[in-house]
Amino acid sequence: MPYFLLNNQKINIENYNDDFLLLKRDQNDNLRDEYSLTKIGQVIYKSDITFIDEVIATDTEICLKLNNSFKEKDIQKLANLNYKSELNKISQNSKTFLMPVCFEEKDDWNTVEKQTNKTKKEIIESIVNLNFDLAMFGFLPGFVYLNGLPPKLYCARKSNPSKYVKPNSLAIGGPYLGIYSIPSPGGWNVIGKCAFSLNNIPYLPPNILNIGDIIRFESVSSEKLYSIQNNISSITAYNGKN
Amino acid sequence: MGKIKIDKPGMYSSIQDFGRIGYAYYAIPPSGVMDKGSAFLANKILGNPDNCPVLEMTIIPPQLTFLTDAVICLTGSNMNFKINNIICNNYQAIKVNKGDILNGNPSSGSHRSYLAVNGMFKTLKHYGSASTYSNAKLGGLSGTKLKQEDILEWNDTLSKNLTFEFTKEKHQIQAIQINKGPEFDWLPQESKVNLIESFFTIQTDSNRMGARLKGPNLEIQNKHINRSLPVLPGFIQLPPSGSPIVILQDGQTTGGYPRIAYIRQDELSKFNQIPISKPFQFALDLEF
Repeated sequence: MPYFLLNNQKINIENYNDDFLLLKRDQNDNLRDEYSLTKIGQVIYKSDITFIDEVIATDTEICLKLNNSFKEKDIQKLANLNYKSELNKISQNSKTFLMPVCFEEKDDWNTVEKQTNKTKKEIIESIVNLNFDLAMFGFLPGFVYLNGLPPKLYCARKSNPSKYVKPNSLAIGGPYLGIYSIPSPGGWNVIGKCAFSLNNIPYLPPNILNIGDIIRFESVSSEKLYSIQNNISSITAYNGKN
Repeated sequence: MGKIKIDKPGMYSSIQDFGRIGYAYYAIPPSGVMDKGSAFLANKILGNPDNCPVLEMTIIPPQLTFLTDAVICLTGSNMNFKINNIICNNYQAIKVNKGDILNGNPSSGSHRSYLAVNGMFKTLKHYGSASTYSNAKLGGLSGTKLKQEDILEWNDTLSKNLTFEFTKEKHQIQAIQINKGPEFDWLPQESKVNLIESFFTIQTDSNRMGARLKGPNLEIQNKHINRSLPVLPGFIQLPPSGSPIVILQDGQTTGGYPRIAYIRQDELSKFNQIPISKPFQFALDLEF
């Protein structure tokens, strides 16, 4: 199997019939690794390589959808990118936001409590005391994948995805906390409702957070959530960043 | 300028072109026509550029009133289209007069038809495409499927050359060719055989995001994947329920279920024309 070395670590390349490539490591990344696959994917995306139509970067794999101009020898071009220099260019100016969340609905709490063997109160207490950062773009435009969930709160996705999840739902899926941005089906376990949308559609990136930005959560009652939504227009206004 | 009024919107009628390329990194799906070949022919016959937006009609066609003269072309599923109650042929340029009414019947075979006009529909354009992606209100007339009383407009630029000839390929639903996906080998032998030898149907709760399939329950080792994995249109995911889901043009870019197989882009148009509840099979050339 072809591979290249980056920071002394092997990046394996699987070629699926010249339709797409999958770049993987032998072991899962640390989600906050300096050379994480999401960051490597960001460099490949920004390099605008002609034989690649799409780049999808997750912390487990990078998928490169190929076009007809791809030749097997082109794989070498991936090895030749100057990752170190490009990663240094990526802005480190992260912003921090506070997001009010109402955890009062029933949602998928039964499943989450059962899987984590923790009470709702314990789980909320953990979440509001942690920093989460945007891990990657993925799923649907505006969806927010957040790093920072402690392993004891990891929760498997649903066996059969829900056909409809409301926008601004806060949910747990595997090792991530996530915020649904637009109406969609979804397989994550919903635990709360955020006060504000993070959508930035139709601009790029399509959500207000960028990779590396930090978000913290505060637990509010349904009345308080309603009051915040009625009086404050956006998360940037709520955080005094307008 | 050409104009059409939507009298009845049909089941799901929307403006689509060849979709958004290069935005999956930001989780923006490609959207675009579900049957690329039929959309391409509709434009080709009228002498339009290949990627001109077209009206995609699903299962139940809309009723349209032409507010101006026009030249149109209908392709894809045969929905027994009529102009002023007179049957009109698919796959040819048709002259339409101001005041004419176009309607049709629900499709009985393949289920997506395309209408191109002599020019470029005026649409919203987001992320480089006019394709409607209603979940995020992108493209199309107002980011959504067409509604009653909507008016579609276009700058008419009739090509002088309408002599394009072609042989119409009848949409026959044969087996859908698939390739092994990254997690294909997680399937036990019995599930591999079931995937290839059994019949599946597309369920009624399918849409432009994904097609939920019904067939034999497919077992898999490692039902749960902790991390999110990349997916593209055509990928076949297997949730723990055992019923596969095919990611389609408006589908997500990452998912948490094993990707047991994928349908190539050129084969996906054929898959997208399979009628709801009509049994079909997958085919895999390689031994497993």
